[in-house]
Amino acid sequence: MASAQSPSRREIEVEFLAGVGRAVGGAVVFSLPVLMTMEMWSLGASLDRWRMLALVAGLIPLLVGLSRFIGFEETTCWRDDIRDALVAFAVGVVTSAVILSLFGLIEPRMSFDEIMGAIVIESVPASLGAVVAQGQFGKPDESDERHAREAGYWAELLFMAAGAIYLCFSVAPTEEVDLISAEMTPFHAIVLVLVSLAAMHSVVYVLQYAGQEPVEPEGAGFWSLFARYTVVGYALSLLVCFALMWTFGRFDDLGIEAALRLCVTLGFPAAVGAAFARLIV
Amino acid sequence: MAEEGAETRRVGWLEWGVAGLGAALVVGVLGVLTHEALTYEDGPPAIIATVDDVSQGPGGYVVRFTAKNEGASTAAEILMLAELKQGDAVLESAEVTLDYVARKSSKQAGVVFARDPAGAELTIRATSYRKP
Repeated sequence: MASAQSPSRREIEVEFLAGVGRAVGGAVVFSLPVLMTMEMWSLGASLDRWRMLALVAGLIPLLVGLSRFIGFEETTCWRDDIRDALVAFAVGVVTSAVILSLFGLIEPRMSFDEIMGAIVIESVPASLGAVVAQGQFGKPDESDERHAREAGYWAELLFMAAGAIYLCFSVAPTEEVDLISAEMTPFHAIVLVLVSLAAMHSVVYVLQYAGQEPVEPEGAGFWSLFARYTVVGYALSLLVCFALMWTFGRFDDLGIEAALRLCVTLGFPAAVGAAFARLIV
Repeated sequence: MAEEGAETRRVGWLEWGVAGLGAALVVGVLGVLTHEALTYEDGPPAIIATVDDVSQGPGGYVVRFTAKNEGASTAAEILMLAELKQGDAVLESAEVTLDYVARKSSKQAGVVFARDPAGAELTIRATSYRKP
């Protein structure tokens, strides 16, 4: 944007609106699986309010961080990142509210806290989608390129956490996770951990997807990459599962072993989501 | 990093407006949730059914009713039992399960009777529920 003459005010607003349009698109794509899951609507009504508070309080810093590296708009300072995160959250909330009303899932006969609960839950994937859509599908420009190069180790971890949250979020509230983890023997659980780790590593380093991560630092050996990225990423995925399951109140009636098995079960989609997030972003 | 991108993109009023909306939503949501969390009292759900209307259809008499949860917690899989009574004798009964009713919210449902409810005493009540 550092071109000859500065754009007129009208151009600035039009460009912003186009960006909002892209963000709405991303919000719809990311939130539809969650919007059309019944457990999610009832969760909005029944979820403990402190935990929902924790969910929103955790979401905002995540949006700021994502906006820092992929961004709703190309950003250069923290103030811009915070503004972009807020825009993404606004887009997420409004999009969720509109779609929920379109589906007739929120209506006047429902109490205010049920309606707000449903919208807040849906706004998590929706605002993640809003942030990602602009970063990935917006017009590329030089400052984006520069940012992509600056995204270092911690940014990679952030992408992984975001990917894990996104893929987990649509699965975590369903009863099927309970059923699957109840069916699994300890042997199954161990194999699933190993498979998750292998899947993560191969998605990013072996299978030659477009956007495959370069080996960094150059010439780093398998074990170095595996320990620094894959193992840490998997641990992060498990933490994400733990946090989400706790938020959704799924550990409330479970013993430690059952809870861990639940995390490992959900850890598989989380790990795959984390790995693909590194390729996509 | 900020110093390097000398010529930054100009931000329009609209964008600041939407960002302001976002900030208001964040503060609003956090505020309402905190208020709810602080004022929340644990208590059982209380499902109260009121009859909306009765109409005669080809399959019998359709009774539409609204089940409202006046209690402090959300109930799931609520079994509603509708009975037509004459004195102590139950003439006819029908059941319907509601998926969930959030606290202070309501759901509409219906039961169908073979005989006209007008000639008997109609009661509708919740007989069981599960914690969601």
